[in-house]
Amino acid sequence: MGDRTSDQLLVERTKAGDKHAFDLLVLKYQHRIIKLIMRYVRDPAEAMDVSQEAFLKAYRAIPNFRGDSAFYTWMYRIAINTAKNHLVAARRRPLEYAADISESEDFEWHSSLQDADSPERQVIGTDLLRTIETTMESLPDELRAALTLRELDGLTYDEIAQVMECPVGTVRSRIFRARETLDKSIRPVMDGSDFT
Amino acid sequence: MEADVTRNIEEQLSAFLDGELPDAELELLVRRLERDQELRSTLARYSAIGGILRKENVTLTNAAFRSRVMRAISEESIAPEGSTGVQPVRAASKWRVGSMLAAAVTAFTVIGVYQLDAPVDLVQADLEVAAVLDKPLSSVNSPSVSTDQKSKENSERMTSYLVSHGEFSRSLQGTMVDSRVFIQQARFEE
Repeated sequence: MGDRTSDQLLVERTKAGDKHAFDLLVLKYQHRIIKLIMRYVRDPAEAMDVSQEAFLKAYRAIPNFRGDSAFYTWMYRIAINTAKNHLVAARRRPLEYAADISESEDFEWHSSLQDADSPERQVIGTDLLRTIETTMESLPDELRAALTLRELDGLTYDEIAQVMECPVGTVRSRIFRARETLDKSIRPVMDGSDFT
Repeated sequence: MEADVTRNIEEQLSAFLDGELPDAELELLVRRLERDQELRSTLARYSAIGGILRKENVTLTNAAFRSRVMRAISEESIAPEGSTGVQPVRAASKWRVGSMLAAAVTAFTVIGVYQLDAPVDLVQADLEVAAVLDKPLSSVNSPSVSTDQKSKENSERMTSYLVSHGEFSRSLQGTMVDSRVFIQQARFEE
């Protein structure tokens, strides 16, 4: 069990011609891929184009993906190569070459968020951020801790269970309840927008 | 009761997003996700929550982006390379047109080269053969000789041939007679 198993299932279904399965892979990794590409291509519109190209390349090449590495690792390499090729084509120097997703937490996302989009989107983005921060603070400690360990520290359920000294099933339930609460809080902000 | 089922599915969704859903639940959930738009929206929001917490730019990565990617895949008729699925119509027809064009050019070239090198008589003979081949079978036979008469003549010639050469091909005699039968049968069917 793990990302590899579920991703491999989606990969196999994509190989068999199921486009919905690939849509789920896009849904799952789009945030990370765009964030990664924005380290090379700062212009948001360009970053979107490059990200789209990266996903298209992945789709075309997916029959060659044997599953030796995790899908995200493979996708990550495609994204970096696509971004670098884009910069070479545009005869520009990349902003940063030593891309590592774990380092990217320091990326100045607030400023990029503000520069990125229309004023309306900026407002929605700011509202979302504020709502999530407020709701996170109001969550019971065990829910907030479980979600933070998963989303920010990238721990597996097993590891979280060890840290929190509780069964894996409890971890799964806590993370879900945290997400459920956050989801309810952001729905009014997201409704009417095209975020989902 | 229904709310419990929905919550249970949403909990599976949460575990799926983390890659922690047991295999036994995985297949069914993926199938649900394929046909349930609302469930996909929930998954997208859960994913966005994670993105916001990790300080990823979720204002860019929204449904519009996914739609763009999926539209590009559909509109450009992109198929995974080496896919075993049905070829996109446009790609298949391009291939077919290309093949036909290549075959036509090759045939034209071969005929052209052959005609340049060949003696005039042979070219003329080829043209006559081509003209005959283009005609329906019934019109190929000479109108002055009836089909029955011609068939009779051929039969006599074949018999004469077998009698003349039978001594040299005794072991194959049966085969030759059979061949004759087949020839006659074919004529009969015509």
